[in-house]
Amino acid sequence: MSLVSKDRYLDYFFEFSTTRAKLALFRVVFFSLIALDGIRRLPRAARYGASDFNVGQLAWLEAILPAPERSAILLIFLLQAYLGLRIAMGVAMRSSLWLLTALYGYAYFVSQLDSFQHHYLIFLLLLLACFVPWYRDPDDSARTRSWAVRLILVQIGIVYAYAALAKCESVWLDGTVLGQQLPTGWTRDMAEWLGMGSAATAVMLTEAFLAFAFLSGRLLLVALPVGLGLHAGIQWGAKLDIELFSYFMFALYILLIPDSWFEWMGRHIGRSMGTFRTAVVRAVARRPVVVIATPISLTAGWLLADSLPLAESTLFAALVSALAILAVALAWLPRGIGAGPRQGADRRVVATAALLVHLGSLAAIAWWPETEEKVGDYYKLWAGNARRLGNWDEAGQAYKGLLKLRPKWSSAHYYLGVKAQREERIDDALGHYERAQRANHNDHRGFFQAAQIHHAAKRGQEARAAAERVVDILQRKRNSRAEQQQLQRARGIVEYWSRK
Amino acid sequence: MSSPRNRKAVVFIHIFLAVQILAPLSYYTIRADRNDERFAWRMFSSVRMLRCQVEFRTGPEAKPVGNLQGIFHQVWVRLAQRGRMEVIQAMAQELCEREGAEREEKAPEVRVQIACLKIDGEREERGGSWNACRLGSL
Repeated sequence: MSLVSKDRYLDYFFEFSTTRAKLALFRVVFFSLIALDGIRRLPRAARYGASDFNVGQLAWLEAILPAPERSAILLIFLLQAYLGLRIAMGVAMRSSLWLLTALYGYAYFVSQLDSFQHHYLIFLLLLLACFVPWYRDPDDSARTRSWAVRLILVQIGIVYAYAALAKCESVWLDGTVLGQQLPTGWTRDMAEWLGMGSAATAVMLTEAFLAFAFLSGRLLLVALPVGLGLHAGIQWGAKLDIELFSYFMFALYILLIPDSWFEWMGRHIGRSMGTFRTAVVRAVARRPVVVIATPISLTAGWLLADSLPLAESTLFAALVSALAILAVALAWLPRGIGAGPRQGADRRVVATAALLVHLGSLAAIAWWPETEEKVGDYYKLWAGNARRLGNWDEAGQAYKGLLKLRPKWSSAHYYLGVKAQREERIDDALGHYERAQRANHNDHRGFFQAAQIHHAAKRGQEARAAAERVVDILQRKRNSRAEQQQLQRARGIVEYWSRK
Repeated sequence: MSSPRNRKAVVFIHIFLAVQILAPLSYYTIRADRNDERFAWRMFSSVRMLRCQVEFRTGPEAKPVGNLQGIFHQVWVRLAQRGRMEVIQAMAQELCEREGAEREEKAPEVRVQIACLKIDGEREERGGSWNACRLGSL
C-alpha cells in the first residue's frame, strides 16, 4: 500500500490555488527585478566571444546553440530589461514570457562565462512562469488554481534541500568555511558570539527547515521571517558578489504571504482599484486614443531605444518596435492565439496598453540612472579585455565608446595614445597623452609617454616638463616595479635636459 | 485527477522534477569533477574556496605558457584557478590547436600541471606528464 495515494499526490499540484492579487504583486516585483538584472548584466556582455574561445554549460547543447557573441549577448540583456518591464506591467505576457525564457536560457546555457547558480534558478523559474495563469479568469474570481506556482515553490524547496545537504561536511559544520566567507561586521560578530561552528550548523538547519516548509506547504508563517532573515543576512552581512540573488529570493517570499492578507486587502482596496481601472479603461478604449498613441509610442520608443550610447542601439530599437507592433497585433488575434480580448473596445484597451507600456519601458531603460553607468562599465571591460588579448582595433573602438560617456577617463585617452603609438601615429599619440594629462593630472602614464616622445624628438623643454611631473607624482606614492623603472627613466630625462 | 486537459502538465511536472532531483544528485554520485558544482545548488560551499595554480607547458621542451590572460579572457583563467576541469581541458585543447598551427607538421604537445589548495589545507595535484593534445581528455 502506498503511503500517499495517487489522487492526493496529484491534488498536491492541481488543487493548489492562490489569490490573483498575490500573483499580481509577485509578477510586478519579480519581473521588475528581471528588468533591473538585465541592465546590471550589461557589462558582462563584454566577455562573450573574446578570442573565439568558449565552453558551454552542456556539451551537447553547445553543439546546437550558435556561438556566443558580444553584441548578441548585449542585445539579449537589453531585451531582458524590456520584456521584464512589459511582463511586470501585464502586456503581451504569454509571448513575452516565452521569448524572455528562450533568450535568458540561451545567455545562460551558451557559456560557462556565466557561473552564477542563481541565473540557472531564474531560468527555471521563468520556464515555470510560462505556465502560470497570469490572466484573469473569465469568471473574474479572486483565486486561481496553478500547478506551476506549486512547482515554483517545490523548486525553491529543492534548492534549499540541496544547499543544506552541501553543508553536511566537516569543514562547513566546524565553521571553517563560514569563518572564511564572513567579512568583519555585524554578521561575523554574531557568528563569533554564537561560535562559528554553531552558526554554520544553524545556517544548514535553517536551509533544511525552509526546504521542508516550501515542499510541504506547512509552517509558512514561520518560514517567511526565517527565510527573509537568512537572505537579509547574506545580502547585507556576508557582502558576497551575488548580484540580485537575495532580492529575487525576497520576491519569491511574496508567494508565502498568507492568502488571507491579500483577501483582506482585496476587500478594502479592491473596490477603489476597480473603480480606478474602469476609469482608465474607459479613457483608453476610445478609437482616437489608439490612433494617436500608435505613431507617438512607436516613434518616441524608437528615439529612446536608439538614444542608448551603444553601436547596437538601432538594432535594439528595431527589435523592440517589432515586438510592440506584435503586441498590438495580438490584441486583434482570436482567443487562444492572442490570449485576449474579443470586442472592439477591449481590443483598443489592450493595444493602447501595449503601446504605453512599450514607451514607458523604453523610457525607464534609457533614463534609469544605472543604464549609463553600466554601459560605461561595459565599454571599460570590453576595452580592457581586448587590450589584454592584443586586439587593439577592438580596444580602440571600446575606448572611444567609453569616452563618449566618460570624457575625463584618463586611462581611455592613455590607451588610445598607446594604440596610436603602436601604429606609429606619433602626433595623434601625443594628442591622446595630453588629453590623458588634462583628464587626470595625477595619472603619471600620459606624462611619462609624452616625456619619452618629446625626448626622442629632442624637444628638451617639453620632455623635461613632462618628466618632472612623472617624478613629482611617482615619488609621492608606493610604486610597482614598472613604476619604479618609469621613475628612474623620468629622472634620467630630467637630468639629461637639465645639463643641456 | 489527471483529466485529459492536464495530462501534458503531469508529464511536464514529472520530467521537470526528475531533472531537478537527479541533476544535483549526480554531483554526489557520478560527476567526475568535484570542483564543478554547477546545477548542484551547493551555494557558499567549501569548493568555492578552492584555489588552484594551473600551469600549461607547450612543445617538447615543455615551455611554460606565460601570460594566459593574453590568450584567454580572464574569466576563463579564473575558472581554471577554481579547478574546473572542463574549462582547463578546453583551454588545453585550444593551446594544442595553436601549437599545432605553429609547429605545422610536428605533433603538438601541451602538458597541464594543476596544484590545488583546499580550505582545510589539503593539497591536491594533478596532471604533469601526459600530453593533452594526444589524450583529448585530462
